[in-house]
Amino acid sequence: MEDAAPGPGASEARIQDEALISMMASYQRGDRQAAGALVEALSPMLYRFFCWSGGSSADNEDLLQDCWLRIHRARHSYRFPSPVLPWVFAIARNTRIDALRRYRRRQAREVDLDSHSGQIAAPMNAAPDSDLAGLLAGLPESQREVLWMMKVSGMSIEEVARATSSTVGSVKQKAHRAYEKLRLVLGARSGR
Amino acid sequence: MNPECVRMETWFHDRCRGVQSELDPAGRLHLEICLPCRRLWESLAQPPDSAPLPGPLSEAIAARLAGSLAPVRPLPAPAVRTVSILLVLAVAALPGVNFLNYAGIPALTFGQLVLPTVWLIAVAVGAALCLSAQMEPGSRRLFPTAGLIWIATAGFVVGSVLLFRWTADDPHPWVRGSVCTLYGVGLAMPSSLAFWLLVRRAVFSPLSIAVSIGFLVGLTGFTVLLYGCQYTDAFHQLWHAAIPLIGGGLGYLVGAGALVLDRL
Repeated sequence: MEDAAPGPGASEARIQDEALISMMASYQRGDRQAAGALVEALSPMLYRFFCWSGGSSADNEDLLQDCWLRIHRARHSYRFPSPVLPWVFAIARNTRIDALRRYRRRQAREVDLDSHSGQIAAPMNAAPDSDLAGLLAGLPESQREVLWMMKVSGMSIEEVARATSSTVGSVKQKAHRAYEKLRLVLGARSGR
Repeated sequence: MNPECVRMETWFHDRCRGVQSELDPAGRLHLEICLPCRRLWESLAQPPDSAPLPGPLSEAIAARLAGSLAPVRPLPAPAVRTVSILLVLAVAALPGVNFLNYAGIPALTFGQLVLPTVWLIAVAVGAALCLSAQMEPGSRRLFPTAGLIWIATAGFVVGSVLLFRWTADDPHPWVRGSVCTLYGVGLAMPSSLAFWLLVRRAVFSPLSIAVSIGFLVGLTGFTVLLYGCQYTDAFHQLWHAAIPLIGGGLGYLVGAGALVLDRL
């Protein structure tokens, strides 16, 4: 059986771990170059995280910009030398949750309009069409979020727990349930 | 579920993260014979698929951030934040206890004084750790605030039932209890301002911060009444025990209100 090939998320994250910490410290000191390098290093990962929510490219670009503004305003809350990714993804997660709330509110207000025009807004939680994303789309939000965070950022269970403001045990439990469901789905598909 | 399937999960985590880790012989054998695990193993190796990030976007974001890039003072260390929160609680409770002339201390037995105090300190440390963690995104959470509130309340209730006598010595226990609770909440309320001043630079989740502050205000009220209230029957103590829960509930309402206002 062949071993896992490192995914792009993991290679980006792991290789840059130390570098991210020093960039973050420089960013806090007001270093313009470090801020640029940090944006360059983290934006692809964050963009992939937002793409998981579905939505249009424009929506995801807006989310990314909103997320960076929040990161910028909250940069004093980063504690050197804590890992940067859980800190960044905790803020990204809040950005995504707020956007989802805004979307649901807008959707609730626009129901009548939509029914008249026959147009249906693209749901924020629609999954992209790729196989893995399609598989994960069948999972409950909290379980999908755990696997997706691990996938796009290469974060460990401990780091995902930090990013989602929960305990390691709770994240392990969610991952366990997700694997259980995915195994059932994949087993059923194979049996066809 | 097959225990071997569960054992595979450590490798699934690594596979999902894209970390290359060597399967042991038992794991390899399991993948040979368990089709669902093999399919999952293969699926988790797929790269996260999404549209590429538009090139100029990162540059535009970096340029935007550079426009307001000033050095910032990082938050104090978690231990400093936790101790500050505990100090605020202790200092905020003092005027209330003083206002009530420390009436509770001579009225309580040694056990009635020490055991609730020990539990109060343990809960207060837990609450301070929770609030301190909420001030820093991505920090380690040892336990959820809601769980702590329920465990703390359960402890206070059990303490009230077991440590205090049931013979009510006043003819209007309901009136006395509700008045005392209002006193406790009222005397502790100004501490919410002090807690707010402490966390104001780091409010990233208004709802959870508000619940934690509300709970700490409730603990301040409980402290005031533990040392300031002269009524020592179990029924009356149950009113005291409810104050941290009431504080958490009020905090939740304030936080939810802030979210609603934010949406308007």
